[in-house]
Amino acid sequence: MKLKTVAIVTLVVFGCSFASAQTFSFFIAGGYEVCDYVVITYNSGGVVAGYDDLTTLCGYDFNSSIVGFDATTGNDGQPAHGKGIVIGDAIYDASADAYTGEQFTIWLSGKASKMKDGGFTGPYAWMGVAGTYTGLYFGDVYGFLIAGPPAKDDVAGHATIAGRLPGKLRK
Amino acid sequence: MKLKTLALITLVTLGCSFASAQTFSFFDANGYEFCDYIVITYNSGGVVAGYDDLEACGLDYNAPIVGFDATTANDGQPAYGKGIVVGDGIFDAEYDEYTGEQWTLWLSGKASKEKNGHFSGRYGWMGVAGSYSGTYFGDNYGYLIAGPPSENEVADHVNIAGKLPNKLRK
Repeated sequence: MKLKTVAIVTLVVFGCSFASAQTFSFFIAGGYEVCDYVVITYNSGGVVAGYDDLTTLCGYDFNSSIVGFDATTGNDGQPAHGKGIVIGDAIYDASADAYTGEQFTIWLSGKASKMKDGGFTGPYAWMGVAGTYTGLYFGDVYGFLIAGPPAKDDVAGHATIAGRLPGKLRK
Repeated sequence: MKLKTLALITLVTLGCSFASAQTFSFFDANGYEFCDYIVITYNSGGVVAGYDDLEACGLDYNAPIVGFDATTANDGQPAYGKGIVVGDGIFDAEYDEYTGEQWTLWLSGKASKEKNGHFSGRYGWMGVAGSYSGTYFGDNYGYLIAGPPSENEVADHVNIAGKLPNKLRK
């Protein structure tokens, strides 16, 4: 009986949270897959860390750091929300190799998106938001999430999750 | 009756969320006040944006902050609850380059309680730091008050993210 309980608890934990060394790829609503992917290396005590891989398939010189919390976002009218993680992502500075004055932050669902007949179904599973050092909010992007890195051929020439830098604002 | 209900909803909303143009200052768990402070300029549709004012610390640039209204659970960390989670570009802003590091903050939707000049109750914020190699290198946490710090009280104080652990990227 106790072993059964432990097994159930373990399943629930793995089903609803981000284990370490997990990798996730992103599709923008509409089906376009981005070239970068997130690798979770640490998840303990409500804290999550890892990196956004910008080097392997996007061709940048540096990956970007990601860190944040297990967190739940409410349905406040945004296109994607729910239980998952919220992580700051230094993608703008990493891709420019400079302080751009811009920040990108992502909510990721604790569950990968569902697929049927080669298409995604169900709610969006991630949402990224971008802002500047002047306090300007300049937009969001969102879509579907799958486990594992993208296939190289599928994302050749594709942009990153944060899209193009709106402008190097700081200088 | 309808007006009463509306007034109540308005009060609850203002009491539990971050309105635009709000400013927050940070103390560590021992009551040390940091020189920087957060200014929320945008809060709509579950999204929050603003900046971390580092010019108050004598640095050349402020840092962008952006994120979500979010609730963190009690998973053993020192601070958690309903509030916001925002990425903060403080490391890169401080060094005016890509350092390979990221700082992310959880802030409570409620300011910390003070009594007789001391804080009481639960911590009101927590920050975490990580690197581009995926290393998690620690946290900081403490109490939160509304408004900017008094200039005299934070002269020569460090910012909320403390000293950069290492300039990792180069």
